Amino acid sequence: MSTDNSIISRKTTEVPLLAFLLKEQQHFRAEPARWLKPLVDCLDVIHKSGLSHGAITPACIHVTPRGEINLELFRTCAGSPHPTETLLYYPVDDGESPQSRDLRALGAVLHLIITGQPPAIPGRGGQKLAASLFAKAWPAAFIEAVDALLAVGDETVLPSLQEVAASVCKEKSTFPTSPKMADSIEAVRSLPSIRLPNGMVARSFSASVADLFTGETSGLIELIGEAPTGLDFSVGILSGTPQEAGEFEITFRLNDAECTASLTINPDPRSLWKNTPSDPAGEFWKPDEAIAFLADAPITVLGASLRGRSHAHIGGFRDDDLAVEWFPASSWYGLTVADGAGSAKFSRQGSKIVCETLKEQFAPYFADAANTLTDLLNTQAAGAKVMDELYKLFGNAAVEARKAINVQAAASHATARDFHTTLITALLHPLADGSWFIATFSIGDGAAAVLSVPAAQPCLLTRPDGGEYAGQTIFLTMNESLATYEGVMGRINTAVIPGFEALILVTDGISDPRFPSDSALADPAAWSLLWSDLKTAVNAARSPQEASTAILRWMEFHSPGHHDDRTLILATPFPLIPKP
Amino acid sequence: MIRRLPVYLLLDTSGSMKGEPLESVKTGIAAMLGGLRQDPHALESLHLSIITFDRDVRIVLPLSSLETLQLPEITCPDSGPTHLGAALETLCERVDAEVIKTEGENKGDWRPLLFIMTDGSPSDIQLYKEMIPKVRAVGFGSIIACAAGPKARKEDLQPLADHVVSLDTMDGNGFVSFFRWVSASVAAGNISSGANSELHLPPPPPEVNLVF
Repeated sequence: MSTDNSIISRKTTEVPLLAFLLKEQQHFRAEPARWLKPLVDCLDVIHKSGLSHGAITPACIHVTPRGEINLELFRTCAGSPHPTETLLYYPVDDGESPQSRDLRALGAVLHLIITGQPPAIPGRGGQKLAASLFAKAWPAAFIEAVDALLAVGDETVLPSLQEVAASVCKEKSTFPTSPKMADSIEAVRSLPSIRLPNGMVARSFSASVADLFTGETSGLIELIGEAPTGLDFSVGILSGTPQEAGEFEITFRLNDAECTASLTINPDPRSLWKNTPSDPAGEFWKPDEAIAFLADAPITVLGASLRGRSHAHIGGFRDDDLAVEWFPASSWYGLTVADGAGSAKFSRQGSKIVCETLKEQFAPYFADAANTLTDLLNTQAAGAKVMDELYKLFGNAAVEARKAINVQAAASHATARDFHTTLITALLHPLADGSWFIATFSIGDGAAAVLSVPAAQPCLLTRPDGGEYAGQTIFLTMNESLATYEGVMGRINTAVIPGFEALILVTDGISDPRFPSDSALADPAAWSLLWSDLKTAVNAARSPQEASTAILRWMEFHSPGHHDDRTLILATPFPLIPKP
Repeated sequence: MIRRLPVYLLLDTSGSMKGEPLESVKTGIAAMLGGLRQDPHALESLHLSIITFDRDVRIVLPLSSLETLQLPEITCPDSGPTHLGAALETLCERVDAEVIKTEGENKGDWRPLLFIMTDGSPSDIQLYKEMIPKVRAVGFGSIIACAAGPKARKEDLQPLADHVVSLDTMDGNGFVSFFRWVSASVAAGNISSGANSELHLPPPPPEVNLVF
């Protein structure tokens, strides 16, 4: 009696299998071996003792809310005949052994579990479970075993209980692992979800949804719900110009099955750039853009320096700098651009110190009409003597600039590395015979070139220091840049040309996007194109100031992946700007 | 031509990562990608590769642009060793094949970055030790190793990495924080340049400890 009492008390929380199946069918699919094995083992024990169960029906199989079968109740039901209505699924006695009838009854219960429906003729099967329909939710061997239990005809051999249990344990990998899978027969038929190629806002997009369903391309595909704004679906193709970024799930129907397609739409990077002014109270602040020009010089000299988008995006400082100078007494021009390293915290000041120091160093040298360099050039002295003089002039200026940086570093409790900067400087002078002399000195990347008249090669006046990866270069602030005599001499270039259209100095913020390779950097045609663009840019300018500002605006050109600071100096004897 | 920022992610998928740790890692990577897609610099230049290692080394994502890449399926065996040494070997081959160096007509990529996440110690310790100098010679902009959970041996990672960070717990919070920090580091790496530039790491979130 105590057993019966306990069963009754349990029944309050347990539900009959049939009721459980109405809501929780997926539970059995999730882990068929976990619930089936104990049930079969239990029945096996009964059969091995020579008995039969006699009442395997959904009514006497109770399940806890967590899906555990009450084996105690199941065992208790054995051998105790139940009222006929509860034996709905139990085969009638037609001479078969009681154990075989148990097996057929078990087949009917399993059919119910698999499909949610009893077999058409309980205990007499007659219809096979469509293996293809349930193959995704159940191990195929298990479907076969259940079909065998429900097979009709005296000649059929029923599988043993062990075989039924083993069939579920086979093909473990095909077990559905989540209850999400196979919630209904429709779900079993649903197609796998697919991923469409990524799109981008404001860029034309087209993807063939049909092609992504392998083997299912013949049917009619319909869009259910909405496509992301800007995209339309027609004839199996999703296309258009997306308007909003994000992760989208788009539902399609193909041959009555539903499918979800995931789509990532990236924002347009251009729309993401922020322009945050740098903090004027910050240490070594400088304006985010600058222009430099010579108002009274015989030739036109224009310069502009612009903070790159990468710095503007985070409110960073402009690290580039520039300086232009005309020494009227000696008729020399000094032009300098410098690019502070993006990774050095005070490099904006390093580039500024370089530009200022070079100007200070050149000024006394070229202050008077007579100076050693001019004399050497006018007397057509040997090239070696000119180079020796340039070595002293450039070398000293560079050393002084480095000294000034060291002083600043010490004062700021920082190191010279924090002020890393490149430099390109050019000295320009008209010779007595009307030709021009140009000397350049450079450390680091960026470039200087001259478009001579008549056109001649080479035009490149610098040899950029680069490494195997982008952004690797040499800085003035590194010892190796001025370590040897040969090294310094190698950084000096000279040219004597009958005339020139333009002398252009640029930092790598311009040379990188404008010249796709080192050979392009040495190609006069590529520089001519740059010169032509600059002429167009300053077309409407009425003064050197307006022209420099026009160059500044031109330097805002967009080139994906190139958002470094940009600085450019242009010198030209051509009447670029109308004289007032 | 766009200069790419190649980022390599080496993920430990040995048996101990199965379950919540791996799910958390996947969530973390998805969140990282979502965040990076909001960064214009990353969207234009970042290229990501994911290599997993357990008993086997798998290139689950070859170097692909952030713009086009889709997160691959990442799985874990039930158990098995942690072949980090073999993973480094594959890594070196991949960098050699995928990363462009400045040469003739080619403009080089930015220096690649390497992030390694492991919750144990290398099972192939001999190969691992042999690979350390080879990986160092690749010229990564920075190598950052994350020792996740109590069993990860930080001291194994220190000879390899420029920076070692540790996660005390292997839950979602820790991994999501770690990958958020990775994306912040990548954004910083994107704007750094220079011959000896070190990656300027942003301060890590509280769940991520810098190991000195």
